[in-house]
Amino acid sequence: MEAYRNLIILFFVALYMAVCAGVGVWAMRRTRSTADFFMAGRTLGVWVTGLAVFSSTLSGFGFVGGPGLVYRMGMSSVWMVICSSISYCIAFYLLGKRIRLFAELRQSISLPDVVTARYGSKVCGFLTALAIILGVIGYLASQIKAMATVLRDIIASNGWQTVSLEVCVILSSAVLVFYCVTGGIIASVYTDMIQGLVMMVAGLLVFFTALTAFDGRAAAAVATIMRDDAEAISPWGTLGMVGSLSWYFMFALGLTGQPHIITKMMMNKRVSDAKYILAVSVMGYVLSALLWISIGLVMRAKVIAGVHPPLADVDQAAPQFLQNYANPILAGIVFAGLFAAIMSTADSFLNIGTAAFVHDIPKAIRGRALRRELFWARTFTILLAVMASAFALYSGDLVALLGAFGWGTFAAALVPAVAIGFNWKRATPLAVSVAIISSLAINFAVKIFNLPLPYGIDVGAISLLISLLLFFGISLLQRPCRIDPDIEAVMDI
Amino acid sequence: MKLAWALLGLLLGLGLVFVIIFSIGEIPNGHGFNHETIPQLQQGGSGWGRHSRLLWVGLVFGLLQIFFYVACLALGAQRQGQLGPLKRPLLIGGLIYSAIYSAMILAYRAYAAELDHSLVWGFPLPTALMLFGLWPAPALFIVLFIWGFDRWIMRPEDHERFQQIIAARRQQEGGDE
Repeated sequence: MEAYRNLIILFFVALYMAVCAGVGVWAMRRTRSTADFFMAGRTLGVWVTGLAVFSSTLSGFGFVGGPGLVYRMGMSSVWMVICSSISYCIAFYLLGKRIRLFAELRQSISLPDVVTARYGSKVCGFLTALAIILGVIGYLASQIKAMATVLRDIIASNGWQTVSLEVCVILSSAVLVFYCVTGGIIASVYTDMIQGLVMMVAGLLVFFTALTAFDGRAAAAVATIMRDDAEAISPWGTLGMVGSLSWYFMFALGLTGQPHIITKMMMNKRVSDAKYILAVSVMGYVLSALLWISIGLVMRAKVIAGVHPPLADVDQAAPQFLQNYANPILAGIVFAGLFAAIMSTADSFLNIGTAAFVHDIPKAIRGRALRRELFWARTFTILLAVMASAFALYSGDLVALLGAFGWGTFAAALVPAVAIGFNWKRATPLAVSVAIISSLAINFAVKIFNLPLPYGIDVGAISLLISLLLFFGISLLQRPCRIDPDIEAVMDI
Repeated sequence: MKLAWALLGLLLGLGLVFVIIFSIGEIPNGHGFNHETIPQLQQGGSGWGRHSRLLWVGLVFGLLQIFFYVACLALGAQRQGQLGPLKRPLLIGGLIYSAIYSAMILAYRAYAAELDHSLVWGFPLPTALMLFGLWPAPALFIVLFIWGFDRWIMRPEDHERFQQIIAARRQQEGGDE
C-alpha cells in the first residue's frame, strides 16, 4: 500500500471533489429563489447548521497554518483553539436567538440586511457590506491560493511536475464555483456538513496517530520539547503571555463578528434549535482542532530529537507528518479533510461576498434589490471567484496581507454592531458607523505601515478594543435613537 | 442598562491594562527568538526573566477578559434587565472559569521559577490546567444554554408573542403596498 501512497491521496481528494459536485447538482433542484440561494429558505436542521457553523470556522489555516504555528512557537497559538468553547457560547448567547428572529421578521437574506433593519440605517448596512467585501476578497483569495498550492503538491508527487499553479487554481476553483453557482447556500451548507464530518474524522484519527508517532508517546514528546526550551511547552509558548492573551481576546470575542459564521445562525428551521446547534458546533470544532495541536507538537519534538530533518517551511509540518508517519488511507482522508476545511470556508465567503455585491450594496444605494436577483447572484458568484483567483495569483504579498488580518477586521468591525448592538437598545447608528470605520482604518494602517507592536500583541485585539470603546462611548453620549416598533418588540423577547 | 455600564467599565479596564503593558518596557527577545540550531523554530528563553514583572498584569488581563465574556453571556440571556434563573449559574460558571485561570497563573509562576516541572496528564501543570481546565470550563455555559433556552431565553409564550409581531408586520407591509 505504501507504494501507492500518493495515488491513494489523489484518489481521496478526487472522490471528495466529486461528492461536492454531486451535492451541487442535488442542491440545484432545491434552489428556486434568492432566499433559497442566500438563506437556504431557513429550513436547516440542527446537524446541518451545527456542522456548517464549525466547518466554516476552521479554514485551511486550521489544518496547515495551525500545526505550523505550534511547530514554530509551541503552545502560543493553542490559545486560538482553546478559546473555541467560550467563543461559540458568546456567539450563541448573543445571537442564536436574536439574529434568527430579526431575519425571519424582516425576511432578511444577508447580514447587512439585518443590520439595516436593526438600526433603521442604510449607511450602517452599506458599511457592513463594505467591511464584508474588504475582508472577503483577501480571505477568499488566500483560501483559493492555499487550495491550489496543496493540489499542485499532490499532483506533482504523482509524477506530473509540470502542472502549474494557474491550472491548479482553475481546477480547484471550478469545483467550488460549480456547487456554489448551482446550489447556492444550500449546496454550501450541505457540503459544509460533509466537510465537517470529514474534518472531525480526520482530526480524531490524526490525534491518535500522533499520540503513538513519537517513541515513548506524548509524554516523551513533551519532555523533549521541555528540555530544549521549557517556555515552548508552557501555556504561553515562545510568543509569551501578553501576545497569547491578545490572541485569546481577539479569537474568543471575534467569532461573533465573522459574517460567514453568524449568517448561518439565520438559516435554522426553528429558533429553539439554537440550543443544540451550539453543542454540535463546539463538539465538531474541538474534535477537528485536535489535529492542530497534536501534529505541531509531535513534529517539533521529532525535529528537536533529530529523528526528522528540520522543516524548510513551517507550513510543511502537517503535510510532512502525513507523508511520513500516517497510514496512506489516513493521509488520504486528512488531505480530503484539508480541502474540506478550505472549501467550507471559501464557499461561505463566496456566498456572503456575492450577497454584498448583488443585494446589499444596490439596496443601500438604490433603495431596492436588483431585478432578476437570482440570475445576478449566480453570475456574480462566478465573477467573484474569478476576481479572487486572479488576486490570489497576481497580487503578490497583498493576498497574504488581506488574508492574514481578515479575522481581526471582521471582529473589530462587526462585534460591536452585531453582537452588542442587537442586544442593546441604546446602540446608535453613528456609533456603529464609527466603530466599523475605525476598525478598518486601524487594521489597514498597522499592516500597511508595518507598525510594530510590543510583546507580539495582535493588532486585531487593539482595534477590537478601540472599536468597542468607541461604540459604547458614542452610544452613551448620544440621545437614544428611535427603533422600529417591530424590531424593538423583538428585542424585548 | 447596568450591564452596559459594566461592559464599558470592563473595556476601560482592558484599555488600562494595555496602557500599563505598553508602559512596561519589553526585554530584548521578550516574545521569542530564533532557535540556536534549528531554522524556523522559535524559543522563549527564560520564563521568569520575561514574565516576572508581567505576571500580575497577565492575571488581571485574563480575569478582565473572562468577566467581559460572562457579561456578554448575561447581555444575551437577559430579558428586560433580568437574568431570572440563569443569574446564579452564570455567576458560578464565571467564578469557576476565573478560578481555573488564576490557578493556571499560579502554577505558571512556579513553573517559570523552575520550582516545579512535573508533568500532569502528559503536560506541565500550567499547560495541563490550560488544556484540561480552561478549555472545557465553558461547558457549563453550554449546558446552561440548553437547559435555560425554553425556560428563560425563548419561552413558549415568547414564540406566541413573536408570531403576533410577525402578523402585525405582514399586515403593515400589505397596507404599505
